[in-house]
Amino acid sequence: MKKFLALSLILMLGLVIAACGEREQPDMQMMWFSDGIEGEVMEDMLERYREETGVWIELFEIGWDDYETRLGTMVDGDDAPDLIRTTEGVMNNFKEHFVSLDGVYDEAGFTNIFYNDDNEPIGLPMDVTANGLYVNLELLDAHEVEYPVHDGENWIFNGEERVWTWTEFVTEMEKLVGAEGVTYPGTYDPQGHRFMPMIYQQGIKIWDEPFVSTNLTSDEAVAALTLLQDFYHGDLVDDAPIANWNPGGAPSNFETGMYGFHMSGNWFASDYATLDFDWTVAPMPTGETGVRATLLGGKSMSAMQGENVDMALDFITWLAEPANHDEFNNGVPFLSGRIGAEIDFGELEGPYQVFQDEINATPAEYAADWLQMTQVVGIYPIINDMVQDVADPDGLTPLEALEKAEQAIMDSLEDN
Amino acid sequence: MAKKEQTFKWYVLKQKLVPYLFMLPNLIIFGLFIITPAIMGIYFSLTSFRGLGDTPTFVWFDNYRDIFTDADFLAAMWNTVRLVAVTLPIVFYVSLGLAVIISKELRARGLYRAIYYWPVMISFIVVGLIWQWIFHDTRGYLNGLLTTIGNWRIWETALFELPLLNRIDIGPVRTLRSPTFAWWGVVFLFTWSRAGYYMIMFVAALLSIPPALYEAGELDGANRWQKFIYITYPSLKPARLMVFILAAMEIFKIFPHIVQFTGGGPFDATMFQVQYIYEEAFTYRNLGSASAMSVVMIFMVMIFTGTVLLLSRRGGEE
Amino acid sequence: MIRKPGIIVYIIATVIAFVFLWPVLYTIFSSLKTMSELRAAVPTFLPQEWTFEHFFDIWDRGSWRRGNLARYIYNTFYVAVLSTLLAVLINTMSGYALAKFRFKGDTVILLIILATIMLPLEVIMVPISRVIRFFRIYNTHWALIIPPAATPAGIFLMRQFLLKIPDDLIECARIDGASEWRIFLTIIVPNAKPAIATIAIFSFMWRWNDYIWPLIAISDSNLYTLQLHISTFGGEYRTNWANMLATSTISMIPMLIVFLIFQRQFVQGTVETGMKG
Repeated sequence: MKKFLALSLILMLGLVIAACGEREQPDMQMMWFSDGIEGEVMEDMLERYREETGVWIELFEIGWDDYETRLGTMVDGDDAPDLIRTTEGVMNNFKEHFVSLDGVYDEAGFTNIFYNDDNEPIGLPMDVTANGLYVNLELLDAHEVEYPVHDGENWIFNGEERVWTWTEFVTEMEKLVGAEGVTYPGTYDPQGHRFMPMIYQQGIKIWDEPFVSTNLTSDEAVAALTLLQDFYHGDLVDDAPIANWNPGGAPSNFETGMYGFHMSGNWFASDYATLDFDWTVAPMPTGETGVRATLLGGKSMSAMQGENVDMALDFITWLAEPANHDEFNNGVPFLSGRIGAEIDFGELEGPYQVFQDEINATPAEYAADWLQMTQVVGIYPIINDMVQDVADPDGLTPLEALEKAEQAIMDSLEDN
Repeated sequence: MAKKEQTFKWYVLKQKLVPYLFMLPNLIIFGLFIITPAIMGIYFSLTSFRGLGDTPTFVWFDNYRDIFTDADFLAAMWNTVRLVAVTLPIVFYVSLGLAVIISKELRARGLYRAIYYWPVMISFIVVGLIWQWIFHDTRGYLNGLLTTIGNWRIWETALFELPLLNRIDIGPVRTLRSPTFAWWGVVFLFTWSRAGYYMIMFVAALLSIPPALYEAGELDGANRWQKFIYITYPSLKPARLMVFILAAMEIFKIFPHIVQFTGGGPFDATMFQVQYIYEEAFTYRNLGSASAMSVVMIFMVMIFTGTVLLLSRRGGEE
Repeated sequence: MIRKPGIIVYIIATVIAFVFLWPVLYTIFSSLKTMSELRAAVPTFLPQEWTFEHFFDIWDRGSWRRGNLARYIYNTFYVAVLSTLLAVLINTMSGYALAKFRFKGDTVILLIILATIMLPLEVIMVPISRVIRFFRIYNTHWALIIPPAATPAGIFLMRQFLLKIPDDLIECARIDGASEWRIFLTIIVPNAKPAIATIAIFSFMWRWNDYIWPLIAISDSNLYTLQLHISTFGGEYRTNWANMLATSTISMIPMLIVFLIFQRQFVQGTVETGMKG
C-alpha cells in the first residue's frame, strides 16, 4: 500500500509538472470537420500561410454530429473560433455571429455564395457539392436495366438524345426487385435535401415568392414526394438508412454490391474509387417536363466576430486568390466554388464530369431558389422530418407532410 | 474547570464539523459543476433561449405548458418508462447472477471476471457501433450468419433426410428495421454493456458476507438454494438497493448507446427522453423548452427514486 | 466453507463469457480486415486476409503536425490517472462521512448526490460550459480532471463498504487521542482497500471513455483525448469506419491492462475482508 501511495504521488507530481508546461499559443483558431482528407490539405496550406506571413492558425476538428452543439457553447461563451469551415446550415443558424465578407473577395468569381439577412456574403465558397445518382454497372447490366449513356456530346436513352424520366427510371429499376444478388434496387441518403431535386425536376421552384409563400403544396410537389414515398413503401429503396437515421447506412448498402443505385452526391466518388465492382454516375431522372436539376451545396470558409477579425479577413483574402483556392480543391479533389477553377480529378474525371454536367444543366433560378431556401432558420430539420414522415409506414401522406413542412417554414419566417 | 468545559465544547463542535469537512470537496464540485448549471437550466426553462448566443427572454411557464401538448415528447417519455420497467429487472438479476457465479471458487475466476467486465470498459459509442454491425439489416454479422446457414442446405441432401428441418427456411431476418427487434435490441445492448458494472457492486457485497453464516446454515441442513434465499439474498440488501437505483437512473438517461445503435429508429421506435431533449436543444435549437423537458424528466426520476427509497425503508422489497 | 463448484457452473460461466467476449473480438478482428472485406454483405468472424493498414493509417493521420495518436493516448492516460487519484481521495472521504457520522443534513446531502446522477449532462451542456469558462479552466485538462472526479456511485459504494467497519475500531482510536484525519488515514483507508480498488477501476474507466466533458471543454487539438479524437472521424456525409474501428480497438487495450493490474489488488482486498468477516 505504501509503495502504491508513493508511486501515485510521484506519478501525480510528474503529471502536474507536465501539465503546467506553458505552450506557445497560436494566433488564431480554425474550427473544422472532415469528410475525408480535406483537413490535412488545409493544414498543409496553413503551414505555408505561416511561412509566408508569420501568422499561425491552428486547426481543431470536431465530429460533425456535435459540430453545431459545440459551436453553440463557444458562441455562448463569447469564444467563437476566428475562422470556421461552414455549411449553409451552420451559417444560417449562427448568421449574426459571422463577419460580413463584403468586399473581401470578388463575389463575381464564385458560385453558391451564402448571404445574411443584410445581403452581405458571410462565407467564401470553398468546395461545392452536387447531388447525383451512383449506379452499380455490373448489377444493372446483369439484369438488363437500361440507363442513359453519354456519347461525348449528349446523353442517349432509348435511342433518343435525352436523359430518363422518373417513370422510366422506375420501370427499369423494378427489374431488380427480387432479382438474384439484389437486396434492394436502390438506397437513398436519409438527409431530406437529397429529395429536394425531385421537386425541381417536376419543373417548379419551391418559393412562390421568396420568404413569403411556397409551392410546397402544389400538385407537382405532391407528385414528387409521392414518388419518393412509393420508393420506400414499394421496396424499390431500402428504408433502413432513413428509419434508423443512419447517414452512413446508404453508402454501406451500396458498397456491398447488392444495390442497383445510390442517390447521393459527389463526396462519395473518392471512396467508391476503391470498390470491387464497376460503377458510374448516371444523370438523375427528370419529371415529365424534362427539366434536369441537381441541388448545389457546399462548404465555405467564414470568419467569426471576435478580437482577430482583421487577421481572419486577411486570411480569407489570401484563400480567395485563385492559386490558393485551387490548391485546396485540387488537393482533395473537390468541385470548386470558384468559377473557372481547373481541378484535376485524376481517375475520377468521368464521374466528376457527370456532376459538373448536372450542375450546368440546372437552371440558375433553381439554384438561387434553393440558396434562399437554406436561409430559412431550421430548414434542414424541417425537410428531414418531412421525408421521414412519408417514409414511415405509419406516417403522413405526402400532402400532409408537405403542409406540415410549409407551416413550419412559415412559423420560422415569422419568428425570425 | 471552565477551561475544561470549553475544550469539551470545542471538541463537540469540532466533532460536529468533521463530517462536513470530509464531505466538502465533493460538495464543492457538485455544487459548482452540476448544481449551478442545473439551476441555470431551470432558469433557461422559463425563457425562449435558443442557445445561439442570443439573450434569453422570459416566457414564464409557456415551455412547460407546451410540453404537455407535445405528443412526441410524451411518447418518448412513455417509451422510456416502458424501457425502465423491462430492462431494470433484467439487468438487476443478470448482474446478480453473474456476481454469484464469480464469487464461487472457480478456477480462473479472475479471467471470467475480466471477461464479464470487459464490455463495461468500452465506450458507449463503440458499444453501439459493435452491435449495429452485428445487427445491421443488410451487412450485419447476424444476418450474414443466417444467410450462410440458409445456403448450406445440408438437410436437403440425402444424408440428412429430416422432414422437419426441410421445412425451416433459414435466411436473413428483419433486425434494426423492425421496431420490436430494435426495441428489444436496446434492452439486450444495455444489459450486455452494463451487467458487468453492477456485477462488481454485488461481488463486493457477496464477499463480505461472513462465512460463519453459511456454516450455521449448513448445520441447520439448508441446501444451496435455501442458503441463497435465506442468507445471501437478505445480506445483499444495501447493495441491491444501490444497484436498483443506479441502474434505474442509468436507464432513464439512456442516450449515447442509442445514437450509434439505432439512431432512435426505426421511425422513433427507440426514441427515448434524453435523445428527444438533446435534439430539441441542438437540432431544433430550442434550449428553453429542452430545459423545461429536462426539469420534467428529473422530477419524474425523483418521484421514482423517492418511492423506491420509501418502500425500502419500510422494509418492503424493491 | 463454500463447496467447489460443479461442472454445470463452469459450463454456464463459459457460455456467458462467450456472449460477452465474442462481440468484442469481432470488433477487434474487423479492424484487421481489408476495406473490401469490411464492405462485404456477408461478413466473416475472422479476417480472410489480415492487414494492419488501418492502424498504419491512424498512426499517419495522427502524426500530422497537430499532435498524434501517442499524444492523445498520453493525454487521456494522464487525465484519467489524475482524476482517478482525486476521485479516490474525495469519494473515500465522503463515503466515510456518510457511513460513520450522523449529522444534520445528511439526508439532504444524499438527495443532492442522487439528483446529480439523475441529471444527464447532455442537457446542461451550455450552462456547464459557462461555469467552466467562469473558473478559467476552459481549454485546460483541469476541466476534465476536477469536475468529473466527484462520482456519486463512488460515494455510495464507499459508504456501503465502510458501514461494515466496526465502530469500535474508530472509537478506540478516538479515545487514544488520534485526530480525525489520522483515523481516516490509518484506519479507514487501509480497511477500504477493496472499495478503493473498485472506485479506482470505475473512475479510470469513466475518464478514459469520457466524451462529454472533453467535448464541452477542449478546443485545442493538442489537448484532445482519445474519445474526442475518435469522434472526428465522423463527417457530415461520410464516416471513416475503418479508422474509427482501429482507433477504438487501440482505446480498448489500455483499459484491459489497467483492469488486470488492479484486479489483483481488488481480489486480494476482498478476500482479506472476507476472512475478517
